[in-house]
Amino acid sequence: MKMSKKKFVQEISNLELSTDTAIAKLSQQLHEYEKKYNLRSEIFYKLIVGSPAEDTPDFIAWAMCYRSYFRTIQSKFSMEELVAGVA
Amino acid sequence: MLHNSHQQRLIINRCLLLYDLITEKFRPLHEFHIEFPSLVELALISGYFQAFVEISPGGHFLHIHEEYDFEEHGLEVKGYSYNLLDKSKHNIIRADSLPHHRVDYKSHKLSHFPDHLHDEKGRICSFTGKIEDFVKRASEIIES
Repeated sequence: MKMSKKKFVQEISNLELSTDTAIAKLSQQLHEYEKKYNLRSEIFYKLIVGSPAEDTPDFIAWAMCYRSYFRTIQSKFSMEELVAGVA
Repeated sequence: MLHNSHQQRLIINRCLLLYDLITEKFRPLHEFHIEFPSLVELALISGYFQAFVEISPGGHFLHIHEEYDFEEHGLEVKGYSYNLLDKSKHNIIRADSLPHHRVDYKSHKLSHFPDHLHDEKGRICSFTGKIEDFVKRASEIIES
């Protein structure tokens, strides 16, 4: 059943927003791409991203996943460092 | 947390728009409604939304990826990939904004470079970059 806007907002506000869970999901996806193409993500990113070969559905998604993974990791550690600095 | 509360609101609004679009044009399985909040959760934390949705009894799928950034006080879809797949999970049409094409298959300039669409024959066509237009086209293909 389709959620009403009220229900949608309610569901979203109940989320726990775990950075670790997000990192685990993105990491799992990166691992699946790496297995499928037998290529490490960092090598993929250096070789393929920015080249015409990137214009395939998997590679576009892989590149987004890779960038998002690092953004999330960076935010997690900068937050932890901030907390450690305050303590 | 990656995003501040204002940015989170913008992401939630974007996800709500995507949810409305998908559920108004198609009839996704019940699981989609259950799983959608977890897709929003990932987007709120990572700035990356992705959904793989079965949208028709004939076995069509929509695969959506969006990567978000923030300009001034607004949300920008920095990158995207919209895909309509058949029951064998092969692409029928897809759209993205990689800047590797400047002209369409008739050698006309893309109307909204770098946005473009790969049509049913794999040809490059102009595309607005709006998911509303992609969903409309996908809906027409499914109904035809």
